[in-house]
Amino acid sequence: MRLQEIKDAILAGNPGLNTEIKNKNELFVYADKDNIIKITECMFRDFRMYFAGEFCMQEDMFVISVILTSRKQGYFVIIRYETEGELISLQGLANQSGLFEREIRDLFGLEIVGAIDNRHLVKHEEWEKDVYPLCKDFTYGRKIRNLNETEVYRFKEVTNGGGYQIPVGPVHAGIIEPGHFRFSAIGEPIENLEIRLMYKHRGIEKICENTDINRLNLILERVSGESSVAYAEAYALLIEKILDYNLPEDIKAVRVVLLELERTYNYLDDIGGICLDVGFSYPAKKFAYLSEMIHQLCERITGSRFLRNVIVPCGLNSKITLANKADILETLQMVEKRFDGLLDITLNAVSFLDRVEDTGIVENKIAKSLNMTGVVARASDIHYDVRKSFPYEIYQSLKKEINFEKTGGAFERYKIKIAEIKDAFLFIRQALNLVENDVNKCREKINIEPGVEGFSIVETVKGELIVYGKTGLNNRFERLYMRTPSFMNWEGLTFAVLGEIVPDFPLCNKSFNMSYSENDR
Amino acid sequence: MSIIYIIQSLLLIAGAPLFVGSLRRLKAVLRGYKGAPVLQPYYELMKLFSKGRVLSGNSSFITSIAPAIVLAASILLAFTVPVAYIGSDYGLGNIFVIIFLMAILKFMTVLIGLDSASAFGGMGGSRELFISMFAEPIGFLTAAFLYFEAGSFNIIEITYINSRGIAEPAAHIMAAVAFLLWIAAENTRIPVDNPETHLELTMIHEAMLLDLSGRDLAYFELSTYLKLTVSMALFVNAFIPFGIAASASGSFLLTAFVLFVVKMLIMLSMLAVTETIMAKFRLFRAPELLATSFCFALTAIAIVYLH
Repeated sequence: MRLQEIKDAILAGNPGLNTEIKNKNELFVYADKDNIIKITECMFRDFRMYFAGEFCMQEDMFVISVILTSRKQGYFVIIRYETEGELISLQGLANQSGLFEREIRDLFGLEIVGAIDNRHLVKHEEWEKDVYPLCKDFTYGRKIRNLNETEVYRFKEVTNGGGYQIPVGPVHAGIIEPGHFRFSAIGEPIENLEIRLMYKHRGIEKICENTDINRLNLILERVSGESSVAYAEAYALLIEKILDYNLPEDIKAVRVVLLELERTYNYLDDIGGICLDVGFSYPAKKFAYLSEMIHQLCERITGSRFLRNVIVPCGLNSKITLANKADILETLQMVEKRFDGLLDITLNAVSFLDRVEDTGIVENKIAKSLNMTGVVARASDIHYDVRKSFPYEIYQSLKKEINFEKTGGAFERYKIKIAEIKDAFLFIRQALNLVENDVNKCREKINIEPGVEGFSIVETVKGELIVYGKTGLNNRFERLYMRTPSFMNWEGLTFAVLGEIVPDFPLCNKSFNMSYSENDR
Repeated sequence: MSIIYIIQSLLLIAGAPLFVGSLRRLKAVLRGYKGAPVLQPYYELMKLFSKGRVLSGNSSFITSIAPAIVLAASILLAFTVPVAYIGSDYGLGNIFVIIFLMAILKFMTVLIGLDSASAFGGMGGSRELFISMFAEPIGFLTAAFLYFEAGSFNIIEITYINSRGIAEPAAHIMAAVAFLLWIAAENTRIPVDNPETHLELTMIHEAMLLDLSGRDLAYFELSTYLKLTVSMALFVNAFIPFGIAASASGSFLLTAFVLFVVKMLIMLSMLAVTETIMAKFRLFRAPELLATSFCFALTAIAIVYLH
């Protein structure tokens, strides 16, 4: 069903409703507090939309927007309502909406009406009372003091019988980001796992509102270091969509090369990590070595190991020469050869297969109910890839098939990641074919008029990233919202480990490899 | 008791970190990187000895005494096994003393895991005992096999007799395999445990020591090194004792000592290769491995006994 037809259908069901189509694929429905539940329900029931997020903006009143996506047709439907201080809970209707509501409550101070779960999400016990950092009256740059004024978070616990709690983190034995895992175990099998994140919330959305849009790509690249390119790309797409700007074909191709290089080194690290966590050290070290080769290639062509500050809105901040092109192709060939050899080693090692097969299974039903996206969802038989549903740059001509697996275990996630690496090799070569001359650095100063808004969507290494922006005065954004993939996917891990034994948790965790900092944005 | 016994055991104690350092280096080379110098374990011990100790608020007197007991037991352990010389004095080396010294090590380690009152310590302790429940019978069976083979429960005498020839090579090899698996299980090596992991949830041995620091940790580290070295020395001398010096003459001693080091290095390479080419087993698959080892030991006894 096309966007116009949906619009007509909604209007037929709810006469007098205000609707508006913006940027070709965004339908805005202006609802109010009373009919938001009814309209959302009808969107799920009649139009098979997926819940993708919910966020708040402070204007005269608080404006709540519920983001729905159509994965088949590739458009957004945004249902909006204004409220003075009440947030209508969609828990029980939209999967995982509790996460978004709790986040909005902690950052804007709204009250959730009809919530099943209204524990704090962002605020930890240390926070002072009554501070809402994303409200406009919260001074930019102010630090939140540690006054221990927030109520204690209550974990779900299995307490009777032989149940006991294993608290892990937020400080871990390895050098990783902060996250608290509360296991309830009876013997070795895990009965329940609850994950608590956001120990280092950085207020990036607040920073974005106070930074000139020409420098904002640098901030977004730092939301999650391992997905720097994808975030820069999402930001660039957002600006280009708002400005209706069209890039030359060769820059688009170079961007795809960069995005896929990022995918390659991330997944190489991921599958190396899976090997490492089961104690299979030889391939683990070798995969890490290949990932390092890609990092060094990135540094040679752009000067940044993480490809930072290369993709800028309406341009490219780095010159890609034909020598670079040859370098990429040569390195790729070298990596690919070794990669295939290593794959044979892992896929033929009984001890490795015994560990990863039938471990950490997320069934398709659960993955769907959690609205999981990205590789972890595709391992659970969800056929969704942003590159196919919302093709950006030149993916329309590259991405023909979606990789998926049926069972949804650690081994399937391992295989999907391998398939994505192989795809990435292919896409890089195809994209480079379109680059026939040196691609020059091109960057212009952007000025943007206030009051325009738009959504962009990108497939990062963790899943679907949605960025919303509404421009304000002084060439700044009034609100920039990021629905990061990890925010929703983390929950899948708590289901993957159920019934597994405690020592298998690190393997399940590594096969997910979600980002902590995407929550701490 | 001969002075050479004491000297060789002291050398074994002094060399234990070196063996562990070589093992790490070998593994590094196999995986294609340079690795830390072989003397690294000594530096680590020195670092730990120079640090202060932090005690958990929940810990009792166990945490104060256990590190000393563990170190004492493992040093004593080093004095019970022959290295390169066996005299006619069999005062030391009773197999049961060795087995029970190892049991003391394990018991105190588990206690210290529980004593800090953290969830990891208890988890590690329960896993350690779970594994040793299956590993201990293998130890006893191997001891029984050696008794049937050499007619003695004294490792020094067994070494002496086995160094002069082996009656049942097939049974001998089977028992050796069983004992090798026992070494992997008792010393928490791959495939039973991964000594290199940083993941607190998969640890067995390390999980019990997570709350130790400074000198206490150094004692435990040293005793872990010693336990591995002594287990391997036991294997070398009980199963492949050829070339060991039975008289105190200089040239014999030298050859025996060099041979011992070479045998140990071969053992270490085997360990390094195993740990490089295979993944750790699932925790509940470890008993299957140990059951195999148990069967090997049992068959070995049957063969010797029936002859």
